Amino acid sequence: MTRLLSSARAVCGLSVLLFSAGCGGRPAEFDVGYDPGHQQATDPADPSGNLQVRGLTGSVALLDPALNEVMMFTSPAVRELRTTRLPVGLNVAEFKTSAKRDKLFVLSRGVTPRYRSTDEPPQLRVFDGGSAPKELENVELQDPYNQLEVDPQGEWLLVHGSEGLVSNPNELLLVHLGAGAGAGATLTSKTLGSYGGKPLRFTFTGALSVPGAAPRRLLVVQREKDLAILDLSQPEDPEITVALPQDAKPLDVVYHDGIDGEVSSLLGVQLDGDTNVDLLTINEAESADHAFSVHPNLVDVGGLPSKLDFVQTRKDGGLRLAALVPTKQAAKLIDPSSGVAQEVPLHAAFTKIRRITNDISEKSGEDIALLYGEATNTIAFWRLGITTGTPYHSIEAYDIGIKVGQVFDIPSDQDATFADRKILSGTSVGNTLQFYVLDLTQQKSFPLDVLKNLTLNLSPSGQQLWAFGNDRGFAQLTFDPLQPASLYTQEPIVFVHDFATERGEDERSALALHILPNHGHSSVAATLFDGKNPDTAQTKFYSELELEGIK
Amino acid sequence: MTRKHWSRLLGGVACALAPLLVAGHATAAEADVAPAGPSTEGGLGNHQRNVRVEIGARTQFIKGSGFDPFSTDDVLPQLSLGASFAFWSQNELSLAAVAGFDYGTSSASLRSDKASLDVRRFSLAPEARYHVLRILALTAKVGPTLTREAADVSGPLGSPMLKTGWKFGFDATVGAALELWGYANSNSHKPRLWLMGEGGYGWTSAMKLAFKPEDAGSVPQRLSPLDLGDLSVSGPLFRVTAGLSFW
Repeated sequence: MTRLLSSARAVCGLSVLLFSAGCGGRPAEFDVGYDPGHQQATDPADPSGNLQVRGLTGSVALLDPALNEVMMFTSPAVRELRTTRLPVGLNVAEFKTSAKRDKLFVLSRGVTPRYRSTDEPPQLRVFDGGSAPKELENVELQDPYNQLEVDPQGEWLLVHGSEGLVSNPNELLLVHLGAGAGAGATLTSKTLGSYGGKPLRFTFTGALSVPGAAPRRLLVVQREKDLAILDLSQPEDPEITVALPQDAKPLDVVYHDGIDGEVSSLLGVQLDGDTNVDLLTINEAESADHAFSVHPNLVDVGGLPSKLDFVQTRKDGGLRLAALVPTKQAAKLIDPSSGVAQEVPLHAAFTKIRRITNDISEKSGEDIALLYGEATNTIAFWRLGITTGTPYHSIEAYDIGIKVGQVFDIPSDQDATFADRKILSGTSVGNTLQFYVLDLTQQKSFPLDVLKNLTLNLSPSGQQLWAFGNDRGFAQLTFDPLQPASLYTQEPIVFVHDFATERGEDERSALALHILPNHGHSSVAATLFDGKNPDTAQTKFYSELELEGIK
Repeated sequence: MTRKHWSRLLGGVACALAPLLVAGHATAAEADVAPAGPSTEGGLGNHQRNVRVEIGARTQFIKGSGFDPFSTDDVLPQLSLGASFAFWSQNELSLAAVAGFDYGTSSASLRSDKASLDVRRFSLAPEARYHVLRILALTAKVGPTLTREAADVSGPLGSPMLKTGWKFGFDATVGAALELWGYANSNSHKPRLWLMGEGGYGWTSAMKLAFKPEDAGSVPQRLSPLDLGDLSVSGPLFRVTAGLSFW
């Protein structure tokens, strides 16, 4: 009997052991369906639309909101796909790239409210957008923020928009990104003095020369009633506040480095619903608190300006602030020294101006600007150098038959061969959209018709663009020769992008992304093409990518 | 009720009965007294040498990550069928040939997908039995298995993704067999009712889970196989069966 009881105990012990062995389970990620992250589509030039996906130089980043991770799709070789998962933090508020598309920035709010010290704090993470994705920086923040501004030159990030029971909209966090690998980001917290205004927009200037001081970059904070100007070389210094006339709201700020011996660095401020333009001159310091001073000069342009830009009317000089006044079908050229505005009649009510001088290889020293707008079928090249005295002869207008809504620059970071081309995207009429490829050097425009309203995405290589809709077809357009190729996938497309493979820039893969309905949730799939010579008959299809990388 | 439900039910019953197996023995042994006829002299007779058919549940605990897509709890419940022939005996020791068949399925959500696994295992093994009592024998068994594994993942494409394979392996178990009902007379030819329980380890060679569509014509061309790693249906197992013996 004793032997029997011993056996019973042994079997019971074994059963308990076996049951405990079965309690291990599996990765909790398997229990969470995939649904894509969405954002408000505010920028019509953003090919991501309302989807939290970003095309980078060596990868495509797709947010996996349920798992608080980003899936970085890279390509080991042409048409091959690899998925790397990287944590992004809880409650992603912003998902952006650098202007060069070599970095991905993710702002997360963490656990809110944060009752325990172990709860994840708000964070700003920076990821390498190349073919070997990794986290470069992780900056822990004190409070959750909602908004992230990216410096076009890639040096700074601006975090703002805290959301709490009590929050100060004038509280800004300036993040200076490390210049090299391993160089950490530095954080500067700024609380702007305010007379009641909240930040509306931000402008990072280029390096502006300052009399008696080293050139420096500025951050211009456009607020409801004034401007706050921060010196980015001394971010801890107090800001300079510039009141705007009649408490007008600023609409846009443009800047120019000035011209030696003629005029100092300048800021031009467009005001909302105001015919005046505020011209701010950067002068030498007048107090020990700041390295420079700002002197405003209000100039009436005779109508509501739609766009401002600085232009030069002669080589090494003749700087003017150009203001387009569509109601008068004219432009005003404001001499910053005297404040005198000269009117230049235009062929049409252009609403936008883009200085294209630097994009044309043969420079005469005079500026050339492209005029366009959504209210006219005409575009014009405005040669500023011969404006004075003979303003009509300075403008060459072309009726291209479409109203231009967007002008896209060809990326020239990797290859500047086609920097003299612009993509003019028409405003859509019904289901059709027309776009033009503009050759600035030869002043030729090439119309391209598309059957559907397509989204354009320029390759980071600067060699081609992709046009896609939400159907199964998309197009590659190379710039030399200017040759569109129609391509097809077997599933509906939400995004197309090409990027360098892990073997280098010479090999590229193009990824057509699919978000497919799947048992009440979604699934990620991709069709991979040769990024340089895509062919519908030579693709590779990858499905269920949301499962990749889960361990 | 589908096969899946039956196997789950049996798996649950097996798990629930496991701790009670031996605890319940005393009652069962006493129950045997009532219908038992007069005892016989000399030897265990067909308490020991018999043909036995069994049905029950096998539960296997699979920790390998390859099983994760198909189960939320690492448990594979199976319907277990078996037949044995005790062909040799000496004193309390006997030897039987055992043939078995286990069938089980497991399914789970795999993020947005649905994944399921169908396992059919055939086994053949010698089993050593040692009667510590007339109605209680301890058992030990090691033998090869041949398992058919069929995995499928139902995703967003027009066709389920499948992977099937036959894999060799082995089961090694020890346990006990309790005669719940039967005449004490070792020469009685009446059937005897048995309750068996055993535990051990089952190992099956790994199958690479590289899925391909069931209907290649309804999915995109040049589909890259869905790769979920390697599946090895291996781990500790527990089996509880009820059987009838004859001779």
